[in-house]
Amino acid sequence: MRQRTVIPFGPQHPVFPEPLQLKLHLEEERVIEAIPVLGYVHRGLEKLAEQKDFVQNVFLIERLCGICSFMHALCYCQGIESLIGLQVPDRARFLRTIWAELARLHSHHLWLGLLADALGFESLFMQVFRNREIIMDVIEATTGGRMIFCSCLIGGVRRDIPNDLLKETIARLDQAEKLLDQIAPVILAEYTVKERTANLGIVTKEQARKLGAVGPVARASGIAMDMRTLGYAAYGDLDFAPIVEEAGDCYARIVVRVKEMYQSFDLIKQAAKRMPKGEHALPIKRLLPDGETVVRVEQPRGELMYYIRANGSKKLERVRVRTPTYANIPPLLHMLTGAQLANVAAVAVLSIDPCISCVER
Amino acid sequence: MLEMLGNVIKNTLATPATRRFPAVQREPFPGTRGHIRMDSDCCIFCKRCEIHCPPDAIVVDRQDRTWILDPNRCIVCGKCVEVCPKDCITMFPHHRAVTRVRIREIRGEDDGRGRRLEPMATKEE
Amino acid sequence: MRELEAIEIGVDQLLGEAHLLAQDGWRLVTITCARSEDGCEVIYHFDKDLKLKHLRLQLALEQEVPSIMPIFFPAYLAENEAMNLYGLRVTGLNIDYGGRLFTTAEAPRHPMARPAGARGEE
Repeated sequence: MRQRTVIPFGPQHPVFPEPLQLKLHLEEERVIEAIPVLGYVHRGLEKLAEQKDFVQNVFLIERLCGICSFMHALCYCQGIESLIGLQVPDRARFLRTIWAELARLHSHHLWLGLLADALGFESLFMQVFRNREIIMDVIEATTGGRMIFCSCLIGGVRRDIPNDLLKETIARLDQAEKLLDQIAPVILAEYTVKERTANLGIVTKEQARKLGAVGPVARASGIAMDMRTLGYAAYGDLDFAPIVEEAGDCYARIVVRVKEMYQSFDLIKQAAKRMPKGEHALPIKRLLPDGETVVRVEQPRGELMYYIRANGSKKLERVRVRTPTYANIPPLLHMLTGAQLANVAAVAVLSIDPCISCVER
Repeated sequence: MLEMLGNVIKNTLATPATRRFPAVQREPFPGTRGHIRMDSDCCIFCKRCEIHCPPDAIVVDRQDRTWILDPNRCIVCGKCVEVCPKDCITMFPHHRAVTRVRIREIRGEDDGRGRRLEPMATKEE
Repeated sequence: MRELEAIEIGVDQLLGEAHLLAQDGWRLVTITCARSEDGCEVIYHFDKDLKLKHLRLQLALEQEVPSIMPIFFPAYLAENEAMNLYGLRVTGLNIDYGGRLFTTAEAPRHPMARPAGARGEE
């Protein structure tokens, strides 16, 4: 029997800013088994959400994750709105869609930059982050915050995007899209990237289904699962189809995400074109949530699920958050089994775009 | 080859995409949530900001006539700006440097006819 | 009051129901644990073609529940989480963190088992 070594990978690792620890059982250079060790950023937010009132919770929930903060607020607000029986104004629905897609864009840019950095492709990393800066500026100009938007409220959105600012936003995004046109072929056609990622960490369609993969991981394995097709916010009024790749390897996951970036640009333009006039928020005075509900939205990383239970008072009884990375950990462990140690950090872990602060809440 | 030449010329002539940070600073956008400031002249100490503040960063004392903000707890969400009945909390776009100092606004006694007996003060502690 | 359309089942029916759902191609979304008046309540969320189905289980205090990990592998994370935060007793887990998935040995043992503000947490 060959000798087994255990390498604690993380919680601090140069290519990986999140505090996830993986105990890698190695046989020579090959990973036999990977066991995740969680709990480095557990903050007890679900417990805290039971103590604050349901309006304050919007701000709390937004701080659950830095990258997809708007999606958390959106999902939570949709849940509360369905419990108090409130129909959001049309303009708010479209504004929410625009911000959700902006959040997806900056998240995918961040991920692409980190991946390039992990592959040792430093100049690409810089290019991607330069592009991301444009999107961050757009977000700051429209919401007032760069990471934490604070723009979603129960009953609508907190501030309107005036039409001239919307026009300017679209112009800035066109510029970003043009820059992406230069970057995307590099990452998709470059020989080194392909050599490093193709045929690596394969998850077949059957396995993805069994392991409960969500988001780009599932779509790269040929499962056309996209929560946006549920038609929440304004997605029901826009034209798009989930992006699906068949190969199921790391390269397919890159392709899916890059194509999703273009899709996001397209969706923002569609939403801006069809933006209805009217008010952007409804008052929620004297309305209290009662009952229980399950809400799902599509985050940059996949399906996000909230279970909310209220009892007719200001405080909620239970808020359960199931984030996409939580569902993508079993597929990750599957990908790691049999992988070479050198590929673990750079390719396998990053290809699920992990967000550990989401997992542990 | 020619394509590359184009890139080379472009890159030699182009200015850097970054800013020379401490010397050149970016102006925040007009609507940015940077920090809040309270104008104690018009505060009526109604405690609405304290009740609505999600991270409990504001403490208002009606007896002492003080309004204390802990900038370290404040998440600059702007909820207090929205709920203030007298509009005396304002949002400013510039960020405040990290601090552990609490900001205490004290409004002096008045004689009930709008005349101030003691001046108002802003203290940092 | 808007209730979730959940199928109420008993502990002995759980594995059988889960098996039927797995054969039918349902995917486990997650397991939610919540406090109820006498003990705790476990809700299993399943998804198929964007439709949801929920199984609800009422548990008395300290009642054991079998793990559905042999049928739905991803269940182990959620089950370990419920063991940690709620003190749920899950039997038959292959990957067992010993009720310490998120918290360390010095932390309160089951932080969410009691309502917020209640004293007497370990």
